[in-house]
Amino acid sequence: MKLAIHALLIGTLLFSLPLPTSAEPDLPEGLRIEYGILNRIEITSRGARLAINASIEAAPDLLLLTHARRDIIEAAKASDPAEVLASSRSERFLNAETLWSTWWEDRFDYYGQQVRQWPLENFAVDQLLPVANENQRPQLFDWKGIEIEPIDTPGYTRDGICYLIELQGQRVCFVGDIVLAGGKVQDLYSFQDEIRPGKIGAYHGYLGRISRWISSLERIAKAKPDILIPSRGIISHDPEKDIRIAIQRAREIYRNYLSTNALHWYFGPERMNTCAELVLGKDHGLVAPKNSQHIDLPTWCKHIGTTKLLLSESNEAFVLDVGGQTSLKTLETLVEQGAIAGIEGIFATHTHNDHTAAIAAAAEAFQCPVYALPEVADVLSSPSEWFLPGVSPHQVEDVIVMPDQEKLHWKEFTFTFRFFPGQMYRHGALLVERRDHDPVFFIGDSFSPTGIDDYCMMNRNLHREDTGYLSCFKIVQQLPPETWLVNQHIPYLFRYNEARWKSIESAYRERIRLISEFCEVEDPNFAIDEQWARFHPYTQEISEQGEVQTSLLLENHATESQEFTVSIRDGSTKLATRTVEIAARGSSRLDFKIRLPDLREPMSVLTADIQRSSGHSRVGHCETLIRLKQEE
Amino acid sequence: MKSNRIRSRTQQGRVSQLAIRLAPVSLAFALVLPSFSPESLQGHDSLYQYLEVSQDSAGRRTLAISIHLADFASEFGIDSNRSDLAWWSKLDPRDQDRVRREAGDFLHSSFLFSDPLFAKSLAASLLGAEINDENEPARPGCVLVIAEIPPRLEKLEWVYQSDQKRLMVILTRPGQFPQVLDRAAGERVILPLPVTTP
Repeated sequence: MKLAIHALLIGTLLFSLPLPTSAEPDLPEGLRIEYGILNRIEITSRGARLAINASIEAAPDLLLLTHARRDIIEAAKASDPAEVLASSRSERFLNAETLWSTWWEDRFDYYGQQVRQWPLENFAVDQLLPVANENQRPQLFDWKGIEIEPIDTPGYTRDGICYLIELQGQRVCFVGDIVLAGGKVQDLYSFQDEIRPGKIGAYHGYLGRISRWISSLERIAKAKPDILIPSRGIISHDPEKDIRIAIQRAREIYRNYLSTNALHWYFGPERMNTCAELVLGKDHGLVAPKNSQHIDLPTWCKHIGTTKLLLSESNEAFVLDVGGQTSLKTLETLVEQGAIAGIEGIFATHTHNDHTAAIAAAAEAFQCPVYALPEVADVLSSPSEWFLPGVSPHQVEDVIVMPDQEKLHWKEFTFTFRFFPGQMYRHGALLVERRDHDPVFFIGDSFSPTGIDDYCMMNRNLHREDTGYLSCFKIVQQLPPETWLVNQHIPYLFRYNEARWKSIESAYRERIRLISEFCEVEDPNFAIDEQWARFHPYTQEISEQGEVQTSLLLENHATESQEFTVSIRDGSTKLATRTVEIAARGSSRLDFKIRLPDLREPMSVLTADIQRSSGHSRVGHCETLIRLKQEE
Repeated sequence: MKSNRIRSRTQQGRVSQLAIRLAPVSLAFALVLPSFSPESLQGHDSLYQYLEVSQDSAGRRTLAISIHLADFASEFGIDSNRSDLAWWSKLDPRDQDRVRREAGDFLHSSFLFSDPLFAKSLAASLLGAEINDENEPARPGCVLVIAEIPPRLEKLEWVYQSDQKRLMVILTRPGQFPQVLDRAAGERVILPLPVTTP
């Protein structure tokens, strides 16, 4: 992808949003900081200037990158440095065009679950600093009489590096985004990643990089800095205390997460213990939750992969989810061989491809309707407009949208459709009642016999009374007495006793409080929900260059109303700016008609800078992809 | 000769086909490395260990065990973006052998079959696999080990020794719903087998 070269005027990007500035007393001579959305940091020595991520004045002699996320690279680019150093871990992000080149296709069936704040184009650096292993001495280097010690600090980002510099006897550590003053971080969703020693993939890796982050902080603490200068917010004047508090908070959140977790059902104690030990230490004392009461499925319910098949007395079937060709083939074989008379309907529980990939083909094969909650139907009917975990590209053309609490009578069954934002936001559930059996609530993937499926933050498990698991707890409590739960992956009915429900809910509420303490945001949902701002559609193909229509969807998770100021950009060219006031816990959709005369190859990537009046701002927070329609 | 079809997505997002041919011996096992194709990718398939026994219309019974690459002792494949057919095709032959070896190690340490001959045949047959142009959908990100079950066996009995994750046993017979057993680590499983004549 080739982006136009823009005038590298310092502040082109960042001064477009108001920046709070203040003076910091007692800084070593030669060190200057200008606070803003991204702090501008400069050191002067022997008449030369060194900047960390963003300079105060244009064209510093040297710029050190702490990581290579989009906003950092845009600021570095605008600084127009003579020379740039970065961690060797940043290399793949600095070559971002390679990542973008396959992203149009790779966005489907995606379970990588990484924050994709990739730079918009390649960014050349002069030297990649090697990563020292634990047993090696740090590779110090000299710049204009100043000794610089790079400290390898992955965790908050995959490529984090800090720089320790002694200035007039003060040991100053430039920490980028790894930790903020007061022992906080910007968000939690950045930590989602695989947990390789525990053999947990990125999709199931809640706080997957937190153990590496703890190690990184411990490395910083070991270097005994006098102050920490982060790239956002104020200086930490008590690094030892702030690091200790940060680690303690992270551990409490992780301990809490494990105590309510669904994965204990699937994964053996070896894996779960490994995960606990990595973060909490060998003496973590965490006891895995016991499996709740579970019994075999009734004879009228069959388990086929991730499909549940409901069998009527007259031998017709109604199925929940068809996640792949294997399930579809099994269903076709059962019909061909007469085990079932036919399939009369399909309900899609949620939008992950292991539940939806073959729904369109099944609806065609069996000539049956597909039912879904509105939140699920939106994605099924136009998958290319969405970027969510595991969206299948297979569009389901005709979906019968069933509003929350709608009922459907089928054979001897009564179905009640429910909006059930548990494992993911775009998730439904089906209460199935028949005379000869206790009610069964088909909850998709939202609970297992040990706990809740909230391991992937990109699924958007919002911490709000009106949605997310808190609303699921209420729905389950209002079910008819003796109702069983069933998960699409598990061939058992199960239910928790009252004590287990209480312990899960109280732990979950405590986690929300812990996240509030740990993250520097006005509401914990901004810390767990990267998609509080997102473009819709995520991708679009246009037939000719010119005007493009797109929308930005904003959610104000805060409990007070606030203003959102949005700037849409193509690279560093500002295309449009709007401001909107959004009520507490409200949402808004901003529609844009944008003139885009110069579509890039293989696609243009428009981004949004967003400033909230609470003082929180993100540069290039989200993106939409636009390309010319491809010939078949 | 029996073959299995698997699919992989090309750079353009289309579907192409690659395959691994099974060794032409009735008791032989083969390794299949399927990709994360749009058709077969299943986000949570890694949640269970799968053992499937199926009887076809001719009465032949086969056993298939899928071993998720992420479960290996080494670091092969935990990243779903890496452990697909493209990844496999770029592996050095020595690393391919290593994957086979690790699959074998995992299999033999996790499934303690009580029938000594069956266990022995399993041990002897993990070596032969070659890439062909035909295949069959299988579990993504997994090594799939397939064997024919000798007609003399009336049941399969084993202890599931793995402490990694639960075991899903699926028994498929013509004209019947799949029979499913969900078992925790350490459990002994006795699976009566369908008769070999249909």
